[in-house]
Amino acid sequence: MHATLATLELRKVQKSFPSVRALKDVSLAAYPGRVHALLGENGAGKSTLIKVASGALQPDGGEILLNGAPVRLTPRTAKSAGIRVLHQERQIALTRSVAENVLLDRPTRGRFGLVTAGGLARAAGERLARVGADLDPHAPAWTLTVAQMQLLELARAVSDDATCIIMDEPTASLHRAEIERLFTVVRQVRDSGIAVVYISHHLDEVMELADDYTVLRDGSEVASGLVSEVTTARLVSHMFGDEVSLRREDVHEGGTRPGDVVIELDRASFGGAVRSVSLAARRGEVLAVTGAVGCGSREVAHLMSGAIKPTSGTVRILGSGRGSRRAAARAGVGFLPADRKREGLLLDRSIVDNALLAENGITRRPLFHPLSATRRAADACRRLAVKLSDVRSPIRGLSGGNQQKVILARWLRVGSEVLILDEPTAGVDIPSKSEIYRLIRQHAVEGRAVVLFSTEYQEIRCVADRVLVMRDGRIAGEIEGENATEHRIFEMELGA
Amino acid sequence: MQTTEMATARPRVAAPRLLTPAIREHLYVYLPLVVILIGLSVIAASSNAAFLSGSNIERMLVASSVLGILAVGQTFLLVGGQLDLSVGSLVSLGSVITAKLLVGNVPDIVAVLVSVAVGAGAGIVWGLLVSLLRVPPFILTLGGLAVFASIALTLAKSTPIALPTGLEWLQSGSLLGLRTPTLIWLLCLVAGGVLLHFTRFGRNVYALGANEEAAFLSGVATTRTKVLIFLLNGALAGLAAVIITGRVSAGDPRAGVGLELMVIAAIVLGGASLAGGRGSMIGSTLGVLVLGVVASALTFLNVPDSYDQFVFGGILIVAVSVTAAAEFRRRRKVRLRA
Repeated sequence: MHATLATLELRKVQKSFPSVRALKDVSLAAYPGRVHALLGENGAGKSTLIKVASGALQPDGGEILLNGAPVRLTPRTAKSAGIRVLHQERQIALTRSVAENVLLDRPTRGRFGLVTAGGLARAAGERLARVGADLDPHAPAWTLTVAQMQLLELARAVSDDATCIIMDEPTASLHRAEIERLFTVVRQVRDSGIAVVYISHHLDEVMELADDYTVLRDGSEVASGLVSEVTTARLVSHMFGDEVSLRREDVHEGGTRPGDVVIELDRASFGGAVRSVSLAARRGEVLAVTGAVGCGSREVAHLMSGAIKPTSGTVRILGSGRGSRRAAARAGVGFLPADRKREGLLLDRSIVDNALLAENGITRRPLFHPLSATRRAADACRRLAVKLSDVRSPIRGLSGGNQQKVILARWLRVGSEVLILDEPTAGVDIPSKSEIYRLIRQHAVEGRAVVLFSTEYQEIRCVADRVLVMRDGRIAGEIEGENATEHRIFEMELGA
Repeated sequence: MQTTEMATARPRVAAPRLLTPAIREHLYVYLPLVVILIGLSVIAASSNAAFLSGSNIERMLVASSVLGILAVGQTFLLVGGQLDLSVGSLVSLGSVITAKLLVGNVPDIVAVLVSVAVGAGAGIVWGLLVSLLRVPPFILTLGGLAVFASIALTLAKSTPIALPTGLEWLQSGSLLGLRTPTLIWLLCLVAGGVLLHFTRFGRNVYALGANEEAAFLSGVATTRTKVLIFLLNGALAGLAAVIITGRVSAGDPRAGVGLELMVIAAIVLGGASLAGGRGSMIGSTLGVLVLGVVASALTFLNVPDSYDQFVFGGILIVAVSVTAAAEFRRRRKVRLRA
């Protein structure tokens, strides 16, 4: 297919984690001067593959080749081979200058081997110019916009010895114009003979930019080939599958009747992230809110939970206009935050402590009986079919899906009427996913309310009665659940 | 397929479920401390049998009571992911204030209450600053340590204030062979243990230390909990100040120098972590006892004073390294087993 040798090639790579097989015989070859798109839903195995390709994780099986020669990759050898990763989470030291950030991994030394601000600025300036980024090297990094940070990271990656650049969802929080600009830079990088691996689930971007593609689903490579020989529709069916177990027909089953309003936002704003958003969540329905990363949906979730207060406008939670998070939790608003480890779990504490966190936090009864607590926690976990050996062991040992179920149990235990779920199935395996979907549906059908914040279209399709799509901090549109196809959500997100 | 796997796999024996994970976790921390306690006692007693006599045990407990009471309060802070370094100076300040009041013929009970109130007041200030302005407690209370030390020295004009009368009950009282300071310690310990381990408040302190954000999002009153544990710790420091004053019959502006580090050392020995979310009242108490027994044993073994700090420091380094290594291995196992 290609005359040249692949810069980086993965052959039949496998990787398992204690609870899940993340990669099954996945192959991928990145050629110099070509953009290779890596596609797949959240949880399909893309992140694991990047980690293997950059030496951060060692594969359980398979081969990695650099320019045709098999190697064992470590972060160090990957770096010296010129493999650069632009992670989804920005790797930027916010308090330091742009120049220091560009040269973060290798500060240029000047005369006498000393690192000087002037020398750094000069060297960084050259690197920034190479990717067409017009940034002041002396400016502190926190003054940059998200798009500028993206360019900064690209400038850092495109050093003299870079051979392969892996970009993980680089456009996730960029506007259309910024995306165009980024594409221009990526094409320049490609034309200079660097191999680019481009991860995205925005198919139109892929069609526009990429030469080759590989689609992952549930850890397996389901398709690969030349982008010029495939259609968007084909890619969609590769990504989501024709016969997936998580289908709306199997999960939804109707039965929801919208009732009273439980949470209402009236022209609520939060800084620049949320701009005059009005919405109402009702009993008896699953309201889904979606949008690209940085569209403001995360802030809306926090506003609805009472964790933050709007800078203007009003938020009414179960009839009360001035609720703290604690008051909202007491009134019956459960919240499952997006970042399970940082915001959801007491990782080193027992499953009991985690399952009873809300109960202990909001109950008025002063005493705590360890034995009856263990019993109540075990009971709550059993009701959600959490797989565990002992509720008194640390929650760290559970799989992602089971950890998530424990957080749900935490709120069902205190009888929460409203569940606000932010990415409830991130990093969760398929069987647990379908169980969580059923729980969500059951909650709504029984006359309680669910607000689901998700970027996984299939998930939204499965469980939503109503979908709100956000863009740039505003609500871009509303779609009835049964009409919420991947394409319609896509289009609305991009404002097409 | 099934049979070949069975043949190669080691036969599985059902593990006894007697030891719950929580108890097992505690044993990891407590056992080494108990071993140190017994070991030291045996060594000291073998060179001088009087080490394990009633009167020496009594003396050790009285000598440990100040540290013990401070440890009760500071345990809440460490478990809650907080820290108060100002307690050393707070004890000095409390001691000076108590002595000044007693010199002015104020009844004992009033002097005690004032000292406790001063400590509680300082605690409230720390708690509010930490939770509302998000000041890191380490730096904040380090500042407090210096400020209180200076106030204590200024009030006392840098010399101890001798007590003419007052606080005699701290010297004389005895019940079931336990002297008054020991009894007060025991009382604080039991009350603190119940509060930490058998109330919702205690669970919230653990939650706060384990993951403040998760606790907040789950409806835990994180600000209130923080202020309360700083308050509790300050009040107990005020109480400890009274005991130290009564024991030496003087208000010493240097009474608490270094106590803040000793108390943190004791609690960390007892299994707490400066990162929060770990620790227990029993562990902290064992830590205090180990330090007390070491101090007494060194005296009994006629080890020169200059070695004291070396031994304390050495025990801390070894004990913490051993627990950390065990913890690291255990965690890896948990991850693999899942």
